[in-house]
Amino acid sequence: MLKKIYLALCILVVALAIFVLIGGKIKSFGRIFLATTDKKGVSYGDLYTIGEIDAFRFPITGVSSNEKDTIDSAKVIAMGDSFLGIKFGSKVLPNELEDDIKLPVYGVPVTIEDPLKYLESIHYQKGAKKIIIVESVEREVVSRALSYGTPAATASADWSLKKEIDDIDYAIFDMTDVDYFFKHNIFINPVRLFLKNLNFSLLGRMDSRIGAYSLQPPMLFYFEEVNFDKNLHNTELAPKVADNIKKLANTLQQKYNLEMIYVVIPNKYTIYNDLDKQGSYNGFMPRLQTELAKRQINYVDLYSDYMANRNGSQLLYYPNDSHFTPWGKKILADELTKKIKKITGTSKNSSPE
Amino acid sequence: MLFNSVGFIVFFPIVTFLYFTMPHRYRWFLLLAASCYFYMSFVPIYILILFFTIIVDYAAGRLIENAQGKKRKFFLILSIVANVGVLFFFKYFNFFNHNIAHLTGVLGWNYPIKNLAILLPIGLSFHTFQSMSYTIEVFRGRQKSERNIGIFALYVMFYPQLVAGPIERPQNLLHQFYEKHEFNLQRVGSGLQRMLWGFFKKAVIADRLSSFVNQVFNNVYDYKGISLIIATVFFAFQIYCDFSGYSDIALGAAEIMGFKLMQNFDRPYISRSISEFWKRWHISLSSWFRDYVYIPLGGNRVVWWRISLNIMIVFLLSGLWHGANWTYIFWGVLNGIYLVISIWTTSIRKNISAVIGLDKLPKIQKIWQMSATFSLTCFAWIFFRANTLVDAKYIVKNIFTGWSNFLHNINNLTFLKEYILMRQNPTEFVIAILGILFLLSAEWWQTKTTALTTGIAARPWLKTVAYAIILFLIFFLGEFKNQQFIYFQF
Repeated sequence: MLKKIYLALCILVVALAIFVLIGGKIKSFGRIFLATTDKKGVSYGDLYTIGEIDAFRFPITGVSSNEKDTIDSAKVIAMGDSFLGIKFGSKVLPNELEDDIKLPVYGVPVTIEDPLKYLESIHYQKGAKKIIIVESVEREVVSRALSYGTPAATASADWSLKKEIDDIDYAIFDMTDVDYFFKHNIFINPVRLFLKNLNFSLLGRMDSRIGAYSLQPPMLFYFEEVNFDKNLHNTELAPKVADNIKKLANTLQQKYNLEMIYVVIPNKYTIYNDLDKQGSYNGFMPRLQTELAKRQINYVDLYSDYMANRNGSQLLYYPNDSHFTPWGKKILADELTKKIKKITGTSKNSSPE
Repeated sequence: MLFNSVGFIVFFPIVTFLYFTMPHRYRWFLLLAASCYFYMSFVPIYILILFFTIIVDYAAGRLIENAQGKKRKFFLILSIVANVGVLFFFKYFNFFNHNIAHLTGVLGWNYPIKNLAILLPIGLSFHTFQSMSYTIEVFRGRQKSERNIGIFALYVMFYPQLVAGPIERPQNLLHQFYEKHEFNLQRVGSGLQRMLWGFFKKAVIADRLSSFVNQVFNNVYDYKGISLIIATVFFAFQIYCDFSGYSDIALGAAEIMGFKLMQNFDRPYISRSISEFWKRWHISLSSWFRDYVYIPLGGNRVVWWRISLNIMIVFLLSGLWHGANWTYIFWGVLNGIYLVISIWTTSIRKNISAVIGLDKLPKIQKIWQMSATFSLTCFAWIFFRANTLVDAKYIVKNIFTGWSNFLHNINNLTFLKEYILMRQNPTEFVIAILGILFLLSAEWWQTKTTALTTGIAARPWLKTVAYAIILFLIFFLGEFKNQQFIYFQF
């Protein structure tokens, strides 16, 4: 009897392996067996997607946005990371800003690590004065600011044979799709989710990329945010970062006639770390902002705004996502509007045309 | 392709299925193709290095067998130079070049040679040593040269042991490729059990411990005393579970297909002396150095200082084999020193035991010897794991400091989270400790004949249930971050 069970298991394992290989490599076949639990147009947040714990499964509805401006036609250019493109609950920040200031705003649709490298790559030419909003989330600001203006890595030669070899290499050896199909097919996915939730309910364990969480109120924190503050022992970092941001502002002004407004969006953990029992914050944002002020850099003090609003009736960040809510976005849009109006209103001669 | 990846979970059953359904005469070709795929899934182009080694050593084997007198030695040396040359170029060139450049810089000389932008091919030291053992054995007349280059290629490339051993000998492996292996459910079950045990060690213990170890060893200057001790002991178990876990998966996978590979580990942390440790740890490498370096140098049939010198040479090479870094060299030398001192002090230690009466308390003596050996091994692991010798020096200097601070803050939760849990979840710490205890008990239990073990042996379904629980624990408690095995880099 036991022998028969073993044999059946062996056959089942081989059949499953073949099924996963075909499903992963032939997408039209794989899609039929993919477990889809999400409704169209509804997201459950990037942090829920990592943790996949039911206690944090809250729907977030997206809003469609249209980018009708170009970098040349816009009077205000916004570039940064995913915070500029997030359209949960309200329009993307550049569109919202456009409604407020009544000037064309162009949001670069991809994450920009270094504005100088980006402008050089699109051959942006110095012209009439414009405003540029450079945004970075707090956990990335150190590495980004320290890399501003450093030479770009030499791009590998665009050699068609090499590309073909890479394509063949990908088709034959890459297992990313097979890996995804293995985890998300209709047979494995329920078991995987059950084990994850059982793990959480019995041991309080979650994916290691979730650095901390709270249940009352529900809130997930990304591990890079939780560790960011703890790894910043070097108190000289904030002045260094501010120096580089100042250099960036000067270069943008001189080389492209762009007046910079710098935005650092606080980590969710910076604002809500008290929800983590062992949470603390050593104050990188205020330190950085002091240094920015010393160098007369035009920046948005979002940290103070968020700290003032954190206990209000509305949350500033989604519990199951690392990005801000429409309320958090609106606070930033209002601050940016004030800054832009100040620039355009006080110095008419140099205001964007 | 990592053993602990979905790719392997798909690859292995399909290859095994094809292996048993294919006529015997084509099986070697299937295994060779599968091995090529397995290796190429890391960096495809590096298969060319393997082909070079295979062609050189295949030709050397044939030439040595057909030659007479000095010519035999000439072909052997040629093959060794080619193998060591490849190893030197890819693994050691930058290390030596960097150090020469540094030295010439200190002396104020101009040194124009720049480091090369090359990646180290995965498992290079393993398959080079395996291939070299073939030509040496043919030279010694203990192995007939292989006529079929495909079979020889398979000997060098057999995928279960291609990237991290065990480093096989031709006498043990080559003939197995000619034997017909029938599908045997009992053997499949035994192989699967071994693989499961390997996955458990890797996913549940080693990869969990790595979070604690990496946090401390990558930020050593933030830690003192107890944190450094915990991280060092955790690393001792991490590297053991990582490497022996890999070996278990390799042996189990080969066993399922009917191949018997050599044991690579035999519960090394129960060793009562350093020499015993090296008979239990990475056995295939230790025996390689013994057979091909230590014994040809004269082994222990020479005067006492030559024995010591031979030991030091072997351990220096062993350190260098592990990596082109001073930390590995120091680790090797330190182990050599341990062994030399232990040989010199054998009679003194025996006398001390007799004087204090320890020899009359065999159990206590055993525990003392095991603890001392484990402590010395852990001390050596500091150099193996530290990122630089300067880091290692800091650890050694500070490992016994900071105790008053620890005792003062023993009730402070934030302190405990920072310096005992290394910022990890307390549950992870508890699972790590339980995992280590489970490992030690299971290994102890495997060697004992008790009513329980005989009871289980008589009831196969009980064993099945036990392994089903291990399977559940792997999925329930395992860390699946696609972490590479530590020994892949060697």
